[in-house]
Amino acid sequence: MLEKEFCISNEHGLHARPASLFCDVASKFKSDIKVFRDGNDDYEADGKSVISVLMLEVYPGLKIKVQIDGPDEEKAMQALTQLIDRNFDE
Amino acid sequence: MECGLAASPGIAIGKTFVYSNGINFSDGFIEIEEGDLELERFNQGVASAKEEILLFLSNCESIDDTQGKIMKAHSQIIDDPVIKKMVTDKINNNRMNAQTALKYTIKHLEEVFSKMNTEYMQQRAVDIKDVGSRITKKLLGMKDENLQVKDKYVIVARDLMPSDILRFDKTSILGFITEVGGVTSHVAIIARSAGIPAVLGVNNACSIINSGDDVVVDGSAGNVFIRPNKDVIDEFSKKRDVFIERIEANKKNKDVPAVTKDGKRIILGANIGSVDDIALALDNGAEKIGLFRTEFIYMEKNELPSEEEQYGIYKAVIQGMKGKPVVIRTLDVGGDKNIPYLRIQKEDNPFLGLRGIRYCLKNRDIFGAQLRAILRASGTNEVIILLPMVSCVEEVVKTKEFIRQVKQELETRGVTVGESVKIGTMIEVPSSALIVEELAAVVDYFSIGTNDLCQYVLAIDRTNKQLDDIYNPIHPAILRLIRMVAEGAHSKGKKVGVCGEMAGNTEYTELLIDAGVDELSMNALSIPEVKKNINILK
Repeated sequence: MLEKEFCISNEHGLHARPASLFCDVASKFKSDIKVFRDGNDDYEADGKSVISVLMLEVYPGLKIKVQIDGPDEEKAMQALTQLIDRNFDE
Repeated sequence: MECGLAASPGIAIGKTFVYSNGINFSDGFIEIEEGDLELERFNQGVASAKEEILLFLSNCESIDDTQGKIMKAHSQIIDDPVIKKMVTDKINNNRMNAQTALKYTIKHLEEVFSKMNTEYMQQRAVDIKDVGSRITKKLLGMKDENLQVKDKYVIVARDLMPSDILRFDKTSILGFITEVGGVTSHVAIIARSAGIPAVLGVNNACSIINSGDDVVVDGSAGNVFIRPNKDVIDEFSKKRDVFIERIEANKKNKDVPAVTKDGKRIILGANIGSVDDIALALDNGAEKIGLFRTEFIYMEKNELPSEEEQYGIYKAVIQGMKGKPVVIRTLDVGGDKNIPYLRIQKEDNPFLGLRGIRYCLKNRDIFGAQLRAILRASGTNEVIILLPMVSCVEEVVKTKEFIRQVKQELETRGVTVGESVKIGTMIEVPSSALIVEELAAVVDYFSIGTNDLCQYVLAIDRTNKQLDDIYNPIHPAILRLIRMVAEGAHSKGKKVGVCGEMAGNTEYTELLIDAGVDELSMNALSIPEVKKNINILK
């Protein structure tokens, strides 16, 4: 299992397009992908579900923890890291 | 005549088509053994609905247009594992059949989203409901009446979801009338972007209008005339022609600058209350946002908007204006502009009470959050923080000191602060007009709030009908003060704008410019007329 923290600093946070993009990328992988909000393990979302990610309400400036578990966890973490580092291409 | 919300401007005259999109069924249950089959049936329903959405997208001219964007969002929602998970759970554990399981799933999600903090999230509730309906229709074997209407109609419905609107050939829609819906609903947005008049929130529209009835829809005023007589039809035919002419003229003039015949350049801006107003502002040629009334952000919610939320909103507005300047007025609340959760003490004289900058300086936690959000959102854009209700220099000095502190805190936290943030004050309290030179030494910009300035200077309550006949916004005292403000500001090299109602009224344009005003900021829809007026002035 891999875990990594990110600070979401793009314009609107994990709303609209960014959430869409995140889930598009996540859905390409077999591993389970979970997203936790701002250091609080109670706020958990399924990384492949747009609705789930939107319900996390991640505003810009908040941190998320991405937890990936499965056969392609390394590739998945890499892909998601790249996406977030590119600020969701905004 | 029936009244509703003016959701999309323009006039439509024609026959109605009353559209019913109700899906009615009673809750149904299954035997435990049927669970797997039922789930399979659900999956097939989803697949079929998804096909429909993808077909639309492939026929769509551009995914970036309004409806394309909505359908793209729907194509994602329909695949969402959360929906499948919740439906599966209800089929297996509550023994609901597929459509019943879906019904309660959608209801639950709708509730969650509509309680969320931002307009954007609340609109997602509508998308979820729409996708739910599409799947349900497949499950119930309902045929999609793709309405091929030869003639043009005004569509009347209880409620319209984007997928309903898509069912119609847009060229055959004259206008919309619905019983429910607000000005920021999908229907309103689609109607506005397609230039189709719409009146929403007309009570019992479907009961009082029959398919085939003639109707006049006045989307600009929010009125509907059912089975109108010839006089009404003639009157509105003329109005419709005028409206269409204006739109064409405005399109041509959008980027033409406002310059008087003797070369005085006037900047025209738009007054807004939210991000949603930006599109209209730009469409009408706004060169800046002359006033962003931030109290709307606070009024929309049941609790204080967080710094993060505000940051998101200011950022959206600033970026939406694509480099044009934005004037953000800090929280302007007081006894009359009440916001319940702020629990502002009832005052005997709210207009002369703790409001505007006075309130903010005494509530620095709230003020600080707003300032931080504005400073963070500004980036390299030209942003002016406009302070309301300023009556003395001390208020500005205290505020600037507070802003310095806030900036320092942010910089220590490693947060980037906007570099081109300036400070301005409203001129609405008479004392500020009389000390404009002293204020000009400590601020960069002035915006004259003529609404309140007139009230305070003339000692007239504008809402008091008994005083309608003596209320005169161009009373010599007002004009003299405006001239004084312009001269005083200019002597220190500062600019003056007017953001009150007078700015958008072509009756006063010449007087205001004569008095020395540099900018006028108004309701976006008024910009084209005011500009036309200025360009013919000497």
